[in-house]
Amino acid sequence: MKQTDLVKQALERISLWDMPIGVYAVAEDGSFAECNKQARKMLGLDTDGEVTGSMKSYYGNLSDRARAIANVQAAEQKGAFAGAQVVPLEIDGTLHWAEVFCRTVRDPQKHGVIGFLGCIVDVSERERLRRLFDMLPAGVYRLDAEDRVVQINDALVKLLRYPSAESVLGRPVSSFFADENEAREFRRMIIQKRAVTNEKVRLLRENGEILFASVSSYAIPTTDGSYSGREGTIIDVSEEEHVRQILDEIPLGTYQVRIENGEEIIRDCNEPFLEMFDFDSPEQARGMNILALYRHPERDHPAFRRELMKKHKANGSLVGYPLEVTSVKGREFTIEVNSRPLSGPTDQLVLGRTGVVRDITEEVALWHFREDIGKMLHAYSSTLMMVRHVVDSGLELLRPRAAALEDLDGLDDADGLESALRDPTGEAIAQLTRLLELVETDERRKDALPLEKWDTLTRMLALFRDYRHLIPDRELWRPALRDAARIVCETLAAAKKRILPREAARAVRRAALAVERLCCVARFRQVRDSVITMDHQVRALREYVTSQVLELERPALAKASALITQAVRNLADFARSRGVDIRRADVSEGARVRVDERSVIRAISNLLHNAIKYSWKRSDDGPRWIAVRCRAQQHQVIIEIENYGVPIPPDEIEYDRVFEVGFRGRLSEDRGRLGTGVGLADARGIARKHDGDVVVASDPAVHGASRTDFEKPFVTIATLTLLVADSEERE
Amino acid sequence: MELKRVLWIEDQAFEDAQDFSGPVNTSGEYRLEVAEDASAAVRALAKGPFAAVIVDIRIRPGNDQEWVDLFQRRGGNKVRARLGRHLLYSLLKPAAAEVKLKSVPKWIKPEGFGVLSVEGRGEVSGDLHQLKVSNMETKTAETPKTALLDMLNRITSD
Repeated sequence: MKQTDLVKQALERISLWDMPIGVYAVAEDGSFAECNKQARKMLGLDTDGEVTGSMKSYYGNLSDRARAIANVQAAEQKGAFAGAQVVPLEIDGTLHWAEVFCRTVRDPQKHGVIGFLGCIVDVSERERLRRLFDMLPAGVYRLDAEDRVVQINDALVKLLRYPSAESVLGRPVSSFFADENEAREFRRMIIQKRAVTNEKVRLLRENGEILFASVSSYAIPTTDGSYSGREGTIIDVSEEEHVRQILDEIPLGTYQVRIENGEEIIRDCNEPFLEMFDFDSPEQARGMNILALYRHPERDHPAFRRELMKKHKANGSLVGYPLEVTSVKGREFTIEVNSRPLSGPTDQLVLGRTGVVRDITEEVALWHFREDIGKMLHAYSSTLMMVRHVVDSGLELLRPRAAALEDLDGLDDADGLESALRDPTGEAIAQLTRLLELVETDERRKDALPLEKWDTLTRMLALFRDYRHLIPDRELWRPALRDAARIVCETLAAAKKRILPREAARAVRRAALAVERLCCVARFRQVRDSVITMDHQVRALREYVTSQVLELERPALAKASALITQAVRNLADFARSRGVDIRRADVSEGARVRVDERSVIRAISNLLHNAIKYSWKRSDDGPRWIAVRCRAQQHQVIIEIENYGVPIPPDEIEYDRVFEVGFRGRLSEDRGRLGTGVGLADARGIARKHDGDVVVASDPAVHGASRTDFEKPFVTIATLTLLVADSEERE
Repeated sequence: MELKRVLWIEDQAFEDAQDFSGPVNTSGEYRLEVAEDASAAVRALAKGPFAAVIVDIRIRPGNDQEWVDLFQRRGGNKVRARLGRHLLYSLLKPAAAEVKLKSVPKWIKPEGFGVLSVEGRGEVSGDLHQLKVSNMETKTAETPKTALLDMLNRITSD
C-alpha cells in the first residue's frame, strides 16, 4: 500500500478539531457551538467540557465583527472564501490581534446562514510590529539586494511627499537621493560597515524639494554573509540642518565641555567655534582643557563658575556673560557666553556644560568708544561754556560804544544791520572824504603815506559809499565793511605824524572804529547764537551717546506738564538767542506718565530745539514763535510741538528718514543751521522705550500751496505720545 | 578798474565762512558772487564767465531734481554725498560724472578752479588729479581769513 493511501486512511480518524490551530464554530449570533483546544486556550475558555459563551463578548466594538462577517459573505457570493482577516479581540482585559479564516455554515435545507466556522491564530506580536512600522513617526524602509524599495511605511511616504506606498515601491533608492554619488557612497558604507547610525543625507521629495534626513540602517546578509538588502529608519532633520547651516553662517560657536578628573575638557564644538579660537582641526580642540582659552583663568574662571551655578540652581541658563579669551594662536578677544550646565543623575552633580559663544570684541570696543565720545563731548560742552562767557564779555565791552542802538537784537538780520550801519558808514564816508579833500589841497600831506596807501583809502571810501552795489549778497556787507574799517584804521595809524591834519585823521579813525565795532557786535551775536546752538547739540549728543551705554533710570511718576516745563526751561536761552517765543497750551489736566524723566525731558527738548531752530518769522514785524500743546486723550498724553518755517520734504517723512540716526534733511542746513541728525531718532527711541511714539508732519503753511515749493514756509508738527499712568498706579 | 567776476560755491558763505569774503571784497580786484548749493552753482555758472571758481566739497543739492536724487543716493547728507566733488566732475570731466549737465560753458577750464573745503588734501587728491585741478586749500581753525583771496589771486595770476 502506498504511503499516501495510508495517510488517507489515517485522515478518517483525525477530526477537524484536532488541528494544531484554533478552530471554532459559532451560531449566527456568535454563541459558541464548538471550539478546539487551541482556540479555547487562545480565548481563555475552559479547555474541557461544553463550550459556553459568545464570540461577541470578545469584541470591544461589535462593528468590527459585523465588518468581518460582511467580508465573508461578500466573498462567498462571488464563489470564493474570504482571505485572512485581522480583528481586535479583548481577552482577559488585554487587546489581542487575531487572524481569522472564516466561512459560513448554512442550513442544509433552506441554505440560509446559521453560523460560522473558522480558524483563529493569535498574531498580536506580528500585528504590533506591523502597526509600529506603519505608525512610527520615523520613516521605515526595506530595500532588496539591488537597493529597490520593497517595503516603506506611511510616515516615510508622507515624508517624501509621495501619494502612496505603491508609487514608491519597486523604485531604486538612488532616485530618492539628491545626489546619486551620495547614494552609491551610502551603499558602499553600509556594505563595508554593516550598519550606520544617524548618517546625514540629502533626499529628494516628490516635488523636487531637498529633505535633510538622518538615516540609521543595517545590512541584511544572505546565509553566506553577502549583501541582500538593507532596512532602516529615516528622520527628517531639515529644520535642525537649516538652523545648523545658519549657525555656521552667523558665527555663533557652540561647544560642549565635560568635567573629567576635575578638568573641564572640550568634547564637542562646531566649525565657527574652531574658527573663532583659531583651531586647525576639531581634533585639536577636542580633549583640550577649556581654561587654556581663558585670558585670565585664575581671575575669571571662578567668577564664571559661580554665576553659572547660581543660574543652574535657579533652573536657568547663564546668558550674555562677557569673557575675555585668547585663541590658540594667542589672539585676544572678548566673547559673550550663553551656557547651561549638564546635570548628572542628581542636579547637584554637574557633568559639564553646553553653550553658545559669540565674538563681541567690536561691541565692547564700540561701548568704550561711546564712553570716550561721551567724555570728549563733555569736554566740548565745557569749552563752549567758556567761549560763551568770553563772547558775552566781549559784547558787554563793545556795547556801550556801539552806535546808538536801542535794540541790539536788530543786528541779527541783514535788514536790521543795514539800517544800523547807515549812520556810522555815513559818518565814515563824510570824514574820509574830508580828509582826502584836505590832502588834495596840500600836496605835502601826501607824504604822510605811500601812494598806494592813498589808493587804498580811496578804495575803502568807494566801498563805504557803494557796498550795496559792489557786493551782490547783503550777508557779505558786514565782513566787507568791518575789514574796510580796519584797513582805514591801520592805514592811518601807520601815517607819519604831524603831516596829516590831526583832527581830521582822528575823526576818520573814530568813524571807522564805530563801523568796525558795530560789525563786530553783529558778528559776536552770530557767534554767541552759534555757540548756544552748538552747546545744545553737544549736550544732546552727549546725552544720546551716554544713554546707549547707561541703563534707563527707574521710571517715576511725573506730570506731563512738568516735563514740558523743564524742557522749555532748558531751551529758554536758545529760544531767546533766536528770538523765538514759546507759546504753551496745556489741557492735560495734570495727566501723569510713568517715565524715565531725564530721557523724556531730553526727547521733548530735542523736539523743541528743532522747532526753535527751524522757525521763520510768521510776518515781517511779528515775532517768531512756536506752539507747545499738551492734552490727555483716552490713555495717552499727546504733546504737539509746532513751528512755522523750514519745510521737511514729504519723502523724508514718508520713509521715516528723518528718524534715522545721523540723517540730516536736505533743507535742514537752511541758513547754516547746525545739527547732528540724532535729535528725532533719539526722541522716537525714548518714546518707544516708554511704549509711546514720535511722529512728524510737515505741510505748506499757506492752504493749497505746493508741497514741493520749499522756498515757502511749512508748518511742521512733531507729536510725542506717552501712556498715561493708570489710575491705580496714580493712587 | 573793472572788477573780475569770481564765484564762490560754499554753503556756509553767509554763515561760518563769511569772514573769508571780507578780504576779497576789500581787495578792489574781485566781484564775489556766491552759490550756496549745487543747483544754484549750475545756474550761476551758466551766467559766466568767471575769472575763478572756488568750490567747497560738502554742499547741499538745492532744488534741482538730479542733484536731489544724487544727494539721496549718496547717503542723504552733505558729508557723505560730497556734491562739490560731483559738481567738479560734471563741469570738468563730464564723461565720468553722475550728473550730466545739459551743457558745460565753454569758458570752464580746470585752471580756473580751486577747492576750499574741510577735506584734507589726501581725501581729494585723487579726484583733483583726475580733474587737473591744482589749487586746493583745507579749511581749518587755523586757516587765515585771506585764504579765499589768496587762492583767487593764485588762480587769476596764472
